[in-house]
Amino acid sequence: MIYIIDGFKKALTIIFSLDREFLNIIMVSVSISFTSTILSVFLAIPFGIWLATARFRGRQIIVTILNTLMSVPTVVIGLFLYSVLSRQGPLGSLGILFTPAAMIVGQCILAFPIIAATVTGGVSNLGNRPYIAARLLGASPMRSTFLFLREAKLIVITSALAGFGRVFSEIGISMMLGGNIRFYTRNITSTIALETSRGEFGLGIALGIVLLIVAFLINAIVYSFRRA
Amino acid sequence: MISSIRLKNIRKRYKGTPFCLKIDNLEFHNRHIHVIVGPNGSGKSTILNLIAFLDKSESGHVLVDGHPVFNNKHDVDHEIRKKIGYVRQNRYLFDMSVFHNVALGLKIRKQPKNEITAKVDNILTELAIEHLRNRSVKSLSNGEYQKVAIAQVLVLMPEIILIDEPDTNIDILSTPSIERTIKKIQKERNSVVVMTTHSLKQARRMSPEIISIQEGRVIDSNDEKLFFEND
Ligand SMILES: Nc1ncnc2c1ncn2[C@@H]1O[C@H](COP(=O)(O)OP(=O)(O)OP(=O)(O)O)[C@@H](O)[C@H]1O
Ligand SMILES: [Mg+2]
Repeated sequence: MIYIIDGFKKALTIIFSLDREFLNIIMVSVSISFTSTILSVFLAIPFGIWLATARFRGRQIIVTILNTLMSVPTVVIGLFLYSVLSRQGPLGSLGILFTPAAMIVGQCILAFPIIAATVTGGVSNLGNRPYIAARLLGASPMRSTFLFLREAKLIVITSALAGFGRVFSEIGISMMLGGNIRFYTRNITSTIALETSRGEFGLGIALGIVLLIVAFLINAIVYSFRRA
Repeated sequence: MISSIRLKNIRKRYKGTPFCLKIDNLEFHNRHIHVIVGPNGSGKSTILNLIAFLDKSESGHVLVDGHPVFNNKHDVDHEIRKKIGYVRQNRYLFDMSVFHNVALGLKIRKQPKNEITAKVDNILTELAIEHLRNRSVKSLSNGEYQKVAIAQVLVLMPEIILIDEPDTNIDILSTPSIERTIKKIQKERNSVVVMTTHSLKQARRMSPEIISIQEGRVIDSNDEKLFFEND
């Protein structure tokens, strides 16, 4: 029992002394996950809107596939990208395996179905009425799209937060594609795994607290938007 | 200045339904308001959608001032689109204040700010909804929402005005101000106005001749009495 209490004591010391390694690990996590979420947002939101408003045969199949992909295990994405990005793989020449870039690609793939499916669901309810309403008022297609996005802003924000929440807390991709390299690709989750296996709990607990706080903040933001 | 719209040899179906709109020749001009009446599902909104170039017919043309308008559904001449004001049955207001909703079309037309404010306040007064000016549309009652949707279109004083069932959700005390404003703008602006209604009384107040449709076809106005025996 003592070692757990010890771990918490150490964790508090790390947090309040703003330990350099601790902050660096958080920065790695935040910058990689933020980048991958933004990239995924730019791909998944247009796709989600298209899927929600287009009428074609096979649409429902794509929606079903998307919903299935929402729960794809991170290790499967890790395995897939590892085989593609490793030296013998088709994209091996890029040389990005065990770099933040590989983690970003993996997390981007992880977030895509989550963001796209959330957007598709939300926009299906909204329909294309805002877009048509804007066109009928004389707005150009461009301006109508902006007015549409303005109406859908809640959907856009909540989907992006859902995507961020997922990639920020994932570990399979970070481990397999990042390689857990100190001060480079070692992020919150891979550190927790590593420290725990070493029997060192202080840093792990400190980072675990950060994960929980971030999860709490995301939920609080989504909740406050829903209420407004 | 647009003075007429004509539907010529129109055939319009919807996939998976037996409905077919068949109109050989129907003209709407700017000398008076045109009112379309007919039972649910008879094709009233379909006609307005075709005039607004929101939808496309399998065959036939919509002629504006005698010239067929090529309708590639999303690719109708932007200039013509800007001349059409359409209050759809399926109304939609943006998540903004009443003022900003009514001002939106004027902003899109790049009108000066002080003119926008004057015009918006003017139409809100005419429709007796100036007290709603700063309310969010999310908080409006159905009737209030409907009035704002009408204001949003009428404030533009469009050359072509299409209003699908202006009376929906409107109480009997508010009906006159809406009818008066539509008539006034039609006169002032010489607009081509086409509206639909389920009230034969309203139809008579608004127009000297009423267009009756049933099952997608214009019917002889003598038969129209059959549908409104109880009105
Ligand atoms: N998007 C659509 N897809 C399939 N069928 C449609 C569509 N829109 C209309 N219809 C059908 O076309 C017919 C005419 O519809 P329309 O909306 O023009 O009727 P309406 O005269 O406006 O009726 P209401 O008085 O109920 O508003 C109806 O049978 C309707 O079910
Ligand atoms: Mg209708």
